[in-house]
Amino acid sequence: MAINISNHTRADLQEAIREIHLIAGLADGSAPGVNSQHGSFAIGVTSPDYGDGKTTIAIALASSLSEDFGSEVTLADTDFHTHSIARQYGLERSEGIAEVLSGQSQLAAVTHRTRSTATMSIVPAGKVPADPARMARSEHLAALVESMKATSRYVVFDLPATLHSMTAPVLAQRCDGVIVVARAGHTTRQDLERTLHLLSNATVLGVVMNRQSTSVPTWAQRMLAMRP
Amino acid sequence: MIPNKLVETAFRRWYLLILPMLLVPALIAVLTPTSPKYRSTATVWVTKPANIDGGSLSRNANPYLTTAQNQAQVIGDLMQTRSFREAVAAGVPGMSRESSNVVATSVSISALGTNLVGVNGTASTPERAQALVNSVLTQYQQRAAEESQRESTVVIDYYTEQLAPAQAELAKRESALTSYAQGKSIQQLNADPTYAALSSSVDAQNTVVQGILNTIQTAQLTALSGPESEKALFNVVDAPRLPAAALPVSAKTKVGYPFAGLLFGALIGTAYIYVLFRTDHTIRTSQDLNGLNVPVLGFVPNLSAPRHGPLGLVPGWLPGRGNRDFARQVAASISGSD
Repeated sequence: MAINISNHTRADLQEAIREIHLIAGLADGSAPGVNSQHGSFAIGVTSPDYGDGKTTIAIALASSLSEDFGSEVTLADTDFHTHSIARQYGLERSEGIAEVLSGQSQLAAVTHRTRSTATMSIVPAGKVPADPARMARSEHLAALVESMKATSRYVVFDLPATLHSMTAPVLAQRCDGVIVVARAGHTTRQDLERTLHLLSNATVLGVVMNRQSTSVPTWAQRMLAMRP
Repeated sequence: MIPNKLVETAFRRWYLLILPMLLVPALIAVLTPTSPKYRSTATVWVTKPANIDGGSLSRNANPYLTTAQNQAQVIGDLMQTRSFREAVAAGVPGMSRESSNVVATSVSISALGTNLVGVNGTASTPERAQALVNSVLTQYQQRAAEESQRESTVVIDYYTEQLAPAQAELAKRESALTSYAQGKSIQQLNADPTYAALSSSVDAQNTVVQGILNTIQTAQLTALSGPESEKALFNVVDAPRLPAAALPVSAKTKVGYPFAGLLFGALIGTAYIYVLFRTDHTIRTSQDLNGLNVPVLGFVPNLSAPRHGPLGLVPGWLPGRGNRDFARQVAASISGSD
């Protein structure tokens, strides 16, 4: 079903994502790991729980990087449980990372260009591997990440939810930096602390507060000098 | 500094603040009696601490209180007894003995001056208020007279028992005096110390007997005149009248109680909001991330899908995938893709 998206809504999201670029240092290359071998950057996006909005942020981040910088961006789905990226772009039955890692397919064959943007590619997750944890630790995956970085300036990985899949911390270590998405009013501090602890071996760029809303009227925010 | 999350909780759950502030005063307004009340008053002149046990109270009356204050104290003490209250209730038309507790809260006794005592009765009708005060006065006077009579009877019984031995002793002493005096002239008796001692003994016993007879006579008089004496000591100067108008509702009842309810409701609401704030461990503001040593990269607004339910009436808070799919569509639309 076609959904009407107002320019205002899109602009709000775009501005929020641009703030993430800026603070994470993605825009000027000051983020840790950006001066890697290919001058490209692999960013993992995860969250403590499913439904926190990590896929939305990953899509928005990849789209924004492609749109704003005109750079080659690859959005890769490593969440083998949900296949959210594939569903969003209509690639549910397509082969993906799982097939590349098992040697059944080549990266170029599972990489799909988006219809409207020439600089953004999608790599679906593919079929669920028998042992995702072993696959995440394999050197094949490290090589695959480097291959993606060789063809794209930014590679955005949609990682599994950290508290639900121990694959996520391992995959996060393959990335140059990880963004943790917390859902405002839903994610507890304890869950976030546990997530950050599990990601302690990865480079955490920071936390993005998703679905942020406030019931405090503007006048009260001004009066109390409130910030989000 | 007020934590942002506390302000957020207060504004998000504003109804929890407002509802108690509306419900508690409303509840108080419902529970506070609004029906009219009538008060009837009688004024009584007391000349001494008249009471149901005059002798005892006279001895035990507080010397630092006025006559009226002592009398008010005595009636107040009586009002504490269930039997007295029941008797008062029985004397009021339409009031049963079981409603004796109502009597306790409806009657008040106060000292108006040195010798004036006020008896006030409050009831839902003028007739009942008047009857209530009348019943209190009647019951008090009746009990006082009965108690006075009972005390006199005890005195009469006691001294009547003492009288016979005293009279016997008197007769015995008179007989001894008469026997001793036989065969002796008056001159001899006048100079006889034994005769003088016997004569003195007879006089002393005679005094005792007369004293007992006087006491019995006084007690009999008291017993006979008890009710009239009590009326003189407890004189109703102003009999209770039918109150012409209902008592005005006090400002405390009209404004004070609802205002107190408002404050109490606000206290309840505030306490509940504070409990919610303290038990909310979710992350809502950047302040909640303090101490995690991780930077906040940004805040992404909540993207709610436009509702397409029947007549557009599907509420926005209903769960579902609509919002998530919409958010992803918006995210994908940034690059102009599908």
